[in-house]
Amino acid sequence: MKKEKQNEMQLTLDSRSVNEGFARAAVAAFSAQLDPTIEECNDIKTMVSEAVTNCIVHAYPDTCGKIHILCRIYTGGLLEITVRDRGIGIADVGQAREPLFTTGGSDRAGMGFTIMESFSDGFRVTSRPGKGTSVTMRKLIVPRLRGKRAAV
Amino acid sequence: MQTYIRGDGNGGYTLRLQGELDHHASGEVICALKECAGRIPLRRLVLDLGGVTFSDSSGIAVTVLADRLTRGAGAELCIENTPPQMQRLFRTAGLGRILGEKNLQGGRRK
Repeated sequence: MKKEKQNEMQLTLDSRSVNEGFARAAVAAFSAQLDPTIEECNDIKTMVSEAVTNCIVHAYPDTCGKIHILCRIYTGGLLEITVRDRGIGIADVGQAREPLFTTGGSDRAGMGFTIMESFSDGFRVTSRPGKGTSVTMRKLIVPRLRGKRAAV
Repeated sequence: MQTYIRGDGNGGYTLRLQGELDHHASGEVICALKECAGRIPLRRLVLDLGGVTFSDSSGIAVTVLADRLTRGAGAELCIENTPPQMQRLFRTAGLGRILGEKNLQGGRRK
């Protein structure tokens, strides 16, 4: 059955690390209308934090660029989050998605894509070198008490 | 993110973290870890995660670094009060295999 869009939120941020906390808090606040559990809310915050950090560390390593976040809520409690940049892109997405692979320093775990994939219910990465990267993550917030959630 | 270092006067140090641990905060935590690792003698480092209110994969990198630095110094690493959200992260990363499942919940790696 085709999912219908119920609500949408867009956010554009500078690629500054101080914005990581704001980005995950904003998406978590938007998703609150789905009445997620604490664990689901933590998963959403973690996924967003990983995607935004990738933009800051990898997409714009030597410059400050824009990070675009698009959140959509569909019928049935489906939250879709897209984090997009116009940075340097990824030459080999398959390699970048391998656990422990990183081009960052020792302060990076190389687990960002693995965590985004593990914590989400659907995950897609598209990238073109020199053009940028788009990461789309889906999270299904299963209704706990039917009829008590505003957006469904 | 706030970091607090406390010594016991016998080569044991506790590094307590308070706040959200992400890429923005990890630099300060790494500095504190290296400061602890540079103490002589260093016999035991307790990484107290009880005050961490959120962590992304930066928490994994910090924990792996703590493991590497204490092993390098021949010291013992204890991870204490790991919040449930960080335990989920650590298990996803397979850290239980590296540090020991018990250590992720507050035990000690010998």
